[in-house]
Amino acid sequence: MIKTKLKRAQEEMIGFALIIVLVAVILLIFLGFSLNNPNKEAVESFETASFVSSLLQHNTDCASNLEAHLSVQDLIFDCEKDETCINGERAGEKACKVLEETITNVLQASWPIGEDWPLRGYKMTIQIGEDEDIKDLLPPFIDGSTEGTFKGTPQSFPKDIEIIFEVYS
Amino acid sequence: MVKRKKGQLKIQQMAFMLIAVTLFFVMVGMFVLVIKISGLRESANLLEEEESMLLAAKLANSPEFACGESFGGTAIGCIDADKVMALKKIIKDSTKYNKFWGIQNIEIYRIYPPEETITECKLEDGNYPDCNFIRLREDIEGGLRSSNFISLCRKEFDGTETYDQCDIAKLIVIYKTQ
Repeated sequence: MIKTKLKRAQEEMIGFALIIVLVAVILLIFLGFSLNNPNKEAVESFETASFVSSLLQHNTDCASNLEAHLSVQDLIFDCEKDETCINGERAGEKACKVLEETITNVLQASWPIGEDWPLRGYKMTIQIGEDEDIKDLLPPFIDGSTEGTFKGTPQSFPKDIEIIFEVYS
Repeated sequence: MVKRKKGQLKIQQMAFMLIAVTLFFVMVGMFVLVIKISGLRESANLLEEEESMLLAAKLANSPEFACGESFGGTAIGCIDADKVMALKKIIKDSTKYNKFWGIQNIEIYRIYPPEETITECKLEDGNYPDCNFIRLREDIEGGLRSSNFISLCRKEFDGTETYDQCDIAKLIVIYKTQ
């Protein structure tokens, strides 16, 4: 009699334990789903495209006979022709030198990199030419780490200019 | 008599068990509901964030901000700073634009050429263009932000001629979460 009661109690305990385990597993699955939120990207692709677009419109201290402040885009064309700034604060300096300095400064001010920032590095390449004649107009602008996932796509501009800007996060 | 008492006890036991099981499932149900509701709120916030990001990307090309053909050709992502200051005045004087974009505020922060301090462009101070930060509405603080790069252009005079001055800036859309 006592043995039968003991067995029944044991069976009930096992059943109860099974229910608790089952419910715990279900709760864990729900928790897993609720905590698994997609993380926000540090940089979106449109940001790199917009940056390149605004960089090209930015005025430099280099001037030509016609324009008091040449834009970065104009300076790229002048650099390709190995021209010199005629007027302005940088008169007499090579267009390529002014272009290189301007882009370096703009990149440093716009894309801060380091432990306190979400970005690990960036790389900008300005290429000119068609198909097999493509060459780098200036050495690539690189800062920080350029390994891992990145955002950014090549953008084509008139006169066979292509700017490739990649931001690593 | 003993059998009846035993039966009553069993019924009582079953009733307690049923109440306990019902309570347990009600609690589990409530837990699931809370998780689901918080998920809904989160997805609403994500949608809001996505919307503001898209708005930041396209706002620069809207007629209230765009350079149009004032700065040589139709530039994409170019904002006319003089226009923004005029819009700031309109917003200050009337309530027309209060809910126009469905967001809290719009800010423009000039990044390059860099400056050590942030100087807000204020209508009453008349410090424009010697400032690097424009807030369309000065009476609203806080909120979440989405930003995008833009070209902030204005007409400048260097003593001999007028030229286009285009700086690199960030357009910041400020929105409220649900």
